Amino acid sequence: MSGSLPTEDPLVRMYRELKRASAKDKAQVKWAMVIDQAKCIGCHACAVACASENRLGPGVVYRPVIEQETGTYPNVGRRFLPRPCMQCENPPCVAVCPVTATYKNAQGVTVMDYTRCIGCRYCIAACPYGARCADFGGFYTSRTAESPGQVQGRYAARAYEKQNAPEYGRNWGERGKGSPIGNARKCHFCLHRLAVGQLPSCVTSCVGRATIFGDRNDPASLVSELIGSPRATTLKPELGTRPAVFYLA
Amino acid sequence: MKASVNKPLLYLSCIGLAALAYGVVDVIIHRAGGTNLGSYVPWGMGVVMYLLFVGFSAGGLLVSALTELFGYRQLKPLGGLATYAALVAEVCAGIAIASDLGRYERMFNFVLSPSLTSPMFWMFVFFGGVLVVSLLKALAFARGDEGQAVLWSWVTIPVGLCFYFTNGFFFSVLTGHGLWSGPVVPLLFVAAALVCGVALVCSLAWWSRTDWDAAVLLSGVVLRLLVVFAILEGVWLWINWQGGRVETTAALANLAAGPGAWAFWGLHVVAGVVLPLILLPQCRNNPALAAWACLFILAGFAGARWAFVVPAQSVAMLPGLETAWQHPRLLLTYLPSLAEWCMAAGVSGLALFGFVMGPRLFPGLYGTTPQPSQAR
Repeated sequence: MSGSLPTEDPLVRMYRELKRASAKDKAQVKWAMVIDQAKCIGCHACAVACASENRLGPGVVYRPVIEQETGTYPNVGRRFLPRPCMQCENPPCVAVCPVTATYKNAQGVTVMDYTRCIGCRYCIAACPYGARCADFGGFYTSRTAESPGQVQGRYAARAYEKQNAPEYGRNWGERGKGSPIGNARKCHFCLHRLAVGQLPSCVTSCVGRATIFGDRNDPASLVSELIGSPRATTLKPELGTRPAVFYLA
Repeated sequence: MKASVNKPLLYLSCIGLAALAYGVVDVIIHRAGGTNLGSYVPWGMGVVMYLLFVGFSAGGLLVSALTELFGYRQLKPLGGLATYAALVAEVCAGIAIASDLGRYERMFNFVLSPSLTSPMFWMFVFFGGVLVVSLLKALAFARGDEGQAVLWSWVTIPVGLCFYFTNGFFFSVLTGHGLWSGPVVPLLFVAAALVCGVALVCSLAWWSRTDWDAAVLLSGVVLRLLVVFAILEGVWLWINWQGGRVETTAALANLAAGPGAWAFWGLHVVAGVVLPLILLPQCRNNPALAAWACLFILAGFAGARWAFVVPAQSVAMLPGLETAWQHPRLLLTYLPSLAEWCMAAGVSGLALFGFVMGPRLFPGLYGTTPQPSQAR
């Protein structure tokens, strides 16, 4: 068997490393993500898995996949740029929040306190990556016709929206008028999944294994290995935000 | 004798108040959901109206500074009027911005969990400061307590300057938006606020016949401030253009030739700057002309605020972001909803109501020496 072929699914390795990280003191762990653009096929599975996992309402997206065209005709290329929250070490969104509703947790993830957020959207304007969304309270079923007895009717479809958003390990209740409606929302590396030993949903749903996740404080982790690659880069490094999401160009 | 009330303007203000009622009900029911804002254009009409009325409130600061700091005693009769105008404008600004919040009922968190690194927190602090000082100053003027009025006039100067500076600082820290960021913006905001505020006091002084000589004197101040503002705005635009950042020049192109270019060229540049610059030097003995020139400035600043807030958000933070996930809340274009227009008309109506009824309700603030009734 060729030595260049992978002998193990990266997902298996990431789960093993996640278990190792979970056993450590929380303050010793720094979560990071590496996205290999050469492997990303632009299937948008991560974006859909994220929306489903976090019960995102209409117009709220944590991880859109941007399609980019490069070069000039006839030497053109096409690549994809999945864009989660960069979990910056020096996040502009945290500094501007007037009510400390957003902050960095011990593992370096920028989190939201939905119960504190006043919905001023200053953090959204401050994020240089457009990685935050305002939840204006839309419903996927608001224009769905009712069809009694049919699976696709409004009331049947509403079952999706009745499910509780699991973010930050708290029961936010059925989507109605309470938070997170009216708040700013963002990717949080699926902290609620990490808490129970699961990788973020965008990582597990990536069919090309283009998204790698792990503890960058663990030198033996796949994510640390890839961050050290000469291909590794970050978005808008000139702003000094020091993202924890790296791209392999 | 009670001051007469201009009936057509009163009716117009009542229409505005009805629109305000609609806007408030919509905000109570839908919060920010009734707006046409989105995640890529998170600020729109609410912020525009807030900035506009905050600027209008600066007249109290400038009249205090001119009277107490620079010794323009001829402006003393306008002290009460300027303070009243500042109060009305601050209330309108507060309503406009509170209605724009997604969770307005949690505003107490400004006090419970403040962030000292946030320009918005400081804006909130100084907003409250200006409101309280203006209220105390208005009470002093209404009671005829000169000592207190002078004291609060002095306090107004640093508090007001900090407030208008903080409004610009609020935008200048947003490095992701090239058009907003930079050190010129806070200075631009201070200059803009002073022009707007003093223009409002000048037009109110003529309209309410408080003191026409002082109004003419103020028009000279307006002219000088307008020149300073125009230079600062030119510098701001020039720096952004010369900086050459792709996103910034794209935002500038949108400002100059995008869908809202009429607000910048027509309303702001022509009506708000060029026309007053032509009219103001000609009104040394004509308070009516001075007042009309000032009214053009006030209308023009609505366009200036729109041109400042909206086009800067018309450029995606990352190329292609606007097409990555399709939804009306994820667009780079913005047109206010009916509820937003109603709120804008509503706060304007409220201000108009305050100014129309002011001479009748608060004669003490409007001065004690009314001018002859016929317009000069």
